[in-house]
This record gives sequence, C-alpha cells and structure tokens, in this order.
Amino acid sequence: MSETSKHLEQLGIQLPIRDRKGEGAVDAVIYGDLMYLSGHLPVDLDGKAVYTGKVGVDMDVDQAYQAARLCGLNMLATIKDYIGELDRVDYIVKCLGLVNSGADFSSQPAVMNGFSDLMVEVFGRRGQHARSAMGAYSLPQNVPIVVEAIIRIRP
Amino acid sequence: MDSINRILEDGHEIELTYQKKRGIVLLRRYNDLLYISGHGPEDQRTGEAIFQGRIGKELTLEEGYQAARECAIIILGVLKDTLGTLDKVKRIVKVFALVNCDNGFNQIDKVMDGFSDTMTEVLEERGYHARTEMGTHNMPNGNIPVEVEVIVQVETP
Repeated sequence: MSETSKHLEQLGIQLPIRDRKGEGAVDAVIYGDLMYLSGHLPVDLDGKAVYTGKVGVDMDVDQAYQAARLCGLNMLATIKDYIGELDRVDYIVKCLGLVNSGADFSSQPAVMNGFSDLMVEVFGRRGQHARSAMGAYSLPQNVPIVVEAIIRIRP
Repeated sequence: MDSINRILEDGHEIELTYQKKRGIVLLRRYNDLLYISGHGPEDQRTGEAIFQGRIGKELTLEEGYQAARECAIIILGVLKDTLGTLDKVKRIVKVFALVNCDNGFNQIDKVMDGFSDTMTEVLEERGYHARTEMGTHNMPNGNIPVEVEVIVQVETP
C-alpha cells in the first residue's frame, strides 16, 4: 500500500468510490495522430435506434444505405466533438461495416456505400478509405448497420 | 500512482499463465501498442471453456456479462504477465468483441459492459476505450459466448 494510502487510513478518510458502470466504452480514443472511433449506430440524439431490423428481411438496401449514412453523420459529430473542427481531419484511414444480414443477403458493400459516399461528399479525396464490410448475425438494439473507423488527424 | 495489482471486488486476483498455439502468439508489440489476440472465457492453462453457449438460449444476459468480465480478467492477466505490472498500461485503446447470440438476442452492448466495467474498475481513467461489438452465431470451443480482441497502449521503457 502506498504511503499516502496508509496516511489516509490513519486519518480515517475513506475516499468515495466512483461508479463507472456502463460508461467504459467511449465514442473515440485518440492515439497520437490517429483517432479510433467506436462502432457508431444509426441512432438519434438520445441514442435510440432510428432504423431497426435485418437487411434483406425487414428492410431493403436503400433504407439500409440511409441507416449507414446516419452512422456516418453520428461519427462526424463525434469527430467534431473530440477535435473541435472537421478541418483537422487529415483523412479517413480504415472503416469496418457490420451489416445485420438475413440468411441470403450478400449486398453488404451496397449498404456500406451509404457511409462511404458521405465521407467522400464531406471530405473529397480525404474521405476515401480502406474498407471491409461483413454480415453480422445480430447488432445492438437490432440496428441494421454499425460502422467503426480509424482516422488521421492534424494538430 | 498506486499499484493497480489489486484484487477485484468479487475476489478474482489478476494472475495468469498461458500457452502458445501454433502460428499464433498471445500478442504482438508495435512501438507502444500491444495487439492482443482474441480471447474467450477459457482456462488459459487447459484451454477448457469456462462458459459455453449462445446468449438468449443456453446463457442469460447476466451470464453473458460475467463471461465478458472473465475475458477482461484474462486479458488483464495477459497484460500483467507481459508487462510485469499493470502500472505500465497507459490505456486501453480499442476493443472489438464478438458475442454469440441466439436468434433475436441483440443486447450485445449490455453483455460487453461486463468487459468494459471491469476495465474501468481496475484501470480507472486508463480503462476507458473505444469499442465495437457484434453478434455472431458460431464460435470456437463448443460455442463460447464471447471473444474479445484489444489494442493497448503501454509505457515504453
């Protein structure tokens, strides 16, 4: 036990223990000139799903494309929140799209384009990125798509 | 900074040994990052699964939470084993998690809080991390319920 801890004990001081339950996963972590973005969902400002269901079962590609776009918008909001200004985005490096897929659905890339198109729309060439898209069996809140990303930021 | 080599609330001590498997190592270091292979809730000496089953069918949400917590404890053991002390962990950077789900189960984030809550319990501010989780339907070792891979930033000597 550290000297200070022993001293606190002698003083009879018990520090309050902070309850961090449910908050361990944050929206992004900055590592040097990279920002790792958590999987972003197609949710509203309260975190509630705007789109739910499996693509190819409960919705078609066009709707899922819109959901992917919303993931992108939420991600841009996170980025701005963390670094203050989207000009500070150097470029999008890599993304992973998880698409909640029905058994026979295989157009995950078409769905993911909702996200990728937005990035290029907003950032031009800086928005182009390496990408993987896959089918998921299930996603949180039964959303149709979750997108995570790694981006490079400028000082 | 106080030493963080302490015992978690429910009596688990962070202490572990492990085995290497062919072609795979536990982790790879890149500068000040550790890329840690996916870990499930498995006995690290025998490879036996501590939890098996899909969440929403063989396992409840609460059991899934415990399985995810077990993964965190195992990974903290890996870190302590590798670094000598958890004081050398600068922060958990990024987590990617697979949760084995029954049809219709989608509270995947609630399951994964078992992992994240443990990280912040032990590492406090350094335990906060970016996280992505997805539901899947087939996992190794008799359908373990959770598998988690992590990127960790460590102190360089």
